[in-house]
Amino acid sequence: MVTRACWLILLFAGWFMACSRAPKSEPEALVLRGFRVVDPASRTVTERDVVVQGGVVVASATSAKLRVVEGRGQFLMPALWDVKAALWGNNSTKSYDELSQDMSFSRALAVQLYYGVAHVGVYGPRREWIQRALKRADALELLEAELLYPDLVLCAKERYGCAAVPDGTTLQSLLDDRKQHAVPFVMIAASAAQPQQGDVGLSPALLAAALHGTRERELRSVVMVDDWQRAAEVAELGASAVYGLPGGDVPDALIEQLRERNVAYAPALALYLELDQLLGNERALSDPFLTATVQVPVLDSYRSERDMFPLWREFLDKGRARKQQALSSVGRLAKAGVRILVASDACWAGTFQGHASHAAQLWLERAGLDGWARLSAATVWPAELLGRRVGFEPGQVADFLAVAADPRERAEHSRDIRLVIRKGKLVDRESLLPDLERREYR
Amino acid sequence: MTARVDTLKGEHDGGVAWRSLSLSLLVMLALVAMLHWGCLALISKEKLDPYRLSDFYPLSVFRWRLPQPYQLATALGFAAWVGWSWSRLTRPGARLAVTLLVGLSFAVLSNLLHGVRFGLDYPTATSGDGGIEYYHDAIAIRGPLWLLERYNAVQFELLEHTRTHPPGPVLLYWLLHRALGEPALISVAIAAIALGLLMPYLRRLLRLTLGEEPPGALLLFALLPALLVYGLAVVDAPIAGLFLATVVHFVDDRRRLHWLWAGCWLFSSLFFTFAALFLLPVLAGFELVRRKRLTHFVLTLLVAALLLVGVKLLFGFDWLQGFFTASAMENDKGFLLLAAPHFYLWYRLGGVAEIALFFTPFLWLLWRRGWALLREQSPDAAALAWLGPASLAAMLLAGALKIGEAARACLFILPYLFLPVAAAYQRLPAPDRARTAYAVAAFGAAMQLLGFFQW
Repeated sequence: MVTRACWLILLFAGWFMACSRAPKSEPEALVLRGFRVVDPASRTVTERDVVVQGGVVVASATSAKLRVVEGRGQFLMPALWDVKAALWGNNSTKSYDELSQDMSFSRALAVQLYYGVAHVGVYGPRREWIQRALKRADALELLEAELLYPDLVLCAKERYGCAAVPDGTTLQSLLDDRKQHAVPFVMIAASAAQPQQGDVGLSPALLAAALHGTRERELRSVVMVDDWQRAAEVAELGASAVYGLPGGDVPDALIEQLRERNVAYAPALALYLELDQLLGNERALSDPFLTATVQVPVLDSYRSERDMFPLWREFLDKGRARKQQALSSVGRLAKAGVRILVASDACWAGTFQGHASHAAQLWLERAGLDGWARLSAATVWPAELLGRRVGFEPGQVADFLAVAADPRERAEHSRDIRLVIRKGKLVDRESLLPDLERREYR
Repeated sequence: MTARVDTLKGEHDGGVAWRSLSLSLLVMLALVAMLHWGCLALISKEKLDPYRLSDFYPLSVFRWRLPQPYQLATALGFAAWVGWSWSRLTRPGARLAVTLLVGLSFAVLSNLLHGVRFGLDYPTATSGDGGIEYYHDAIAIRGPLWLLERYNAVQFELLEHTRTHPPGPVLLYWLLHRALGEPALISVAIAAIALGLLMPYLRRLLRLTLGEEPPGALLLFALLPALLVYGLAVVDAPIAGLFLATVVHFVDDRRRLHWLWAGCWLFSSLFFTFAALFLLPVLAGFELVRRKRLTHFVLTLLVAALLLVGVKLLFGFDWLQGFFTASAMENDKGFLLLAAPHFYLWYRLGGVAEIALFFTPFLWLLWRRGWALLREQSPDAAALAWLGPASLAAMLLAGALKIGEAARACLFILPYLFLPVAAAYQRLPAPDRARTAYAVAAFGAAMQLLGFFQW
């Protein structure tokens, strides 16, 4: 009898599987009707239809299969960009070996997309891991944020996330390799003007050679700096952008230099300031916008400063010391017309996947950026760094985000996400949520 | 079927005293300790276990732990349930369906020693978003036909476990996910399917070879630590059932067209694991040794091959291509003996030790006693009892099972090891049978209490 039952079950399973079809594909064309289109590229807000087909904006649909999405006055804007994040998941205030919310790269990119971030510059992992993640996403047709991989950071020494550059020969070969792999940009760590123990940045000579090499190969470069003096030097040497949160006020001369040479600045606001903002902040820690994707034990660790992992403590202390001048510097840079880029540093303490990108925007707002500058920092300017254009013109990639209220007015408005469109497809945001219950056996 | 089926009822061929059981336990612990310290004297822990999967070689995936009071209470519940059900289900006329349900309850209860999350949910869903199990691919794919159509193209991009197997396991998890949803229920369903295949076919094999199923033999089988620990955690448990079904249909040549059924089951086995090649030497060897021909083996193979060709034509999945891709992934540095001689040696030895440990020292005691009896009683069963381990030994020598996950991946070897055990067990008086079963159950529960075996 049991054998017969097994046969019946097997037959049922076969039938069930044979009858199952892959989920219906999205309609070929989307008509986004009744939205107020917020275009940071042209700095306009217009009420018009946007038609999307084959993943890009088109003047009019040629497909007979149309799906109309009614906006009812919602604000449609380009999806967000983040130039620097790690994809391991979310960290607590404890050591990552003790308590963390682990994610696969795919899930981290899915969570990023849940928050409307469709393009993520990735820091840390080795190329083979990234290639595997990219191929998997492609093979399984996973809907997630685009992964922009600059490869390992060029550093003086071997360390997590770094490729050691001991000499000029190694440097040239690494740059050739990055050119060959068509990286979106090259990340370079610069040593501090007064290097301290543990500084892994390139010496001034190698740094100059690295930036010369990137220019020669027509590669874009983002240089990690920890002081304004080095920022001035790399701007002079032709860096595309500088990243960091140096202490002290930014010198006027450097502001002018960055503006003139069209060098962007990606301030590490979330990395240094967000942890302090969250610690013991009940309102922030119970915000549904955050609790939707972060596990409770991880959030609980932020309720006090006790037993904090020393590495996080170091950044917390630096952030507290630098906060006022850093915010004032970012404000002055933006006001002077320097392009600011959002860098969330997700996966650090206090910076959660996707959520940190919005946190970074809030910090830009606190620094005094106006609505257009803030939106540009999260959309068109990072795209420009990579030589891309985003917006609503025909031919542009249809990665959009609809929010309920005008995102120019307040950074908080970008958090009220009503829909996300990626590669021209409506995203089921619920399916992007991470597992909030399960953790590794420890 | 040419086996002698005299059951030799009432013959008493030496009992199993507590003293023998204790001695066998001590011998096994001593051997394991010698292997552990011997290995670590020659190779560092970091080199032996670079992924830090285990706290104790030769166990390949293992974490020590101190049992909590609630776990001890669950263990007592488990012991009481084993005792109660043993006294009822070893009476003549016990129904198979009831035995099967009780066997399933053993697996569930013993895993509940870890709590619901780590005992039932974790075996399927592991750590959630960072997991690398079949389940994680099953929830990512767009559907079974979608996968079958693209399997060969996307195989490299699937997760660690799926990509070294044909599509069967991930489709099974997909089906269970769609039908049941909860990973904990999926784990229970995996055990139910495994036992649903293993127990009826084991009963049939025992009847075929020993003339009758020794009272309680099926329950004893369900109490094996290998099944208690991994029965609901790994797809290798249902695969073991598929393997056994193939062998039983092949061996039972009293039935017409038995090779046709054997071919269908062989196809199912091949659809679930490339390691089903293990069966070919067993089937061919059995027919050569016992029947002095190969006709039915060829027919069986032909049926399975035709079905695989049918799958390729209908759905697009090419088994051979998948096999070569998986083989290239598993052996990316070439033959393990030449690529990493240390790993080869210690993982082979570790694999054998793991299988031995999860079979329990008590059943090895019976296994040793049962060999001579089995040869005398059923030459067919005796042939199977050496062909299975020989085929596995060939696989191990060829470098399969790299990380030493033998106890889980080799669940299919259990029925072959169990045949001599059953022959000896059949002749034990009832109290000795019970004593053996309790010792096996206690050994399994102790393993679960002192350690965690999943990844």
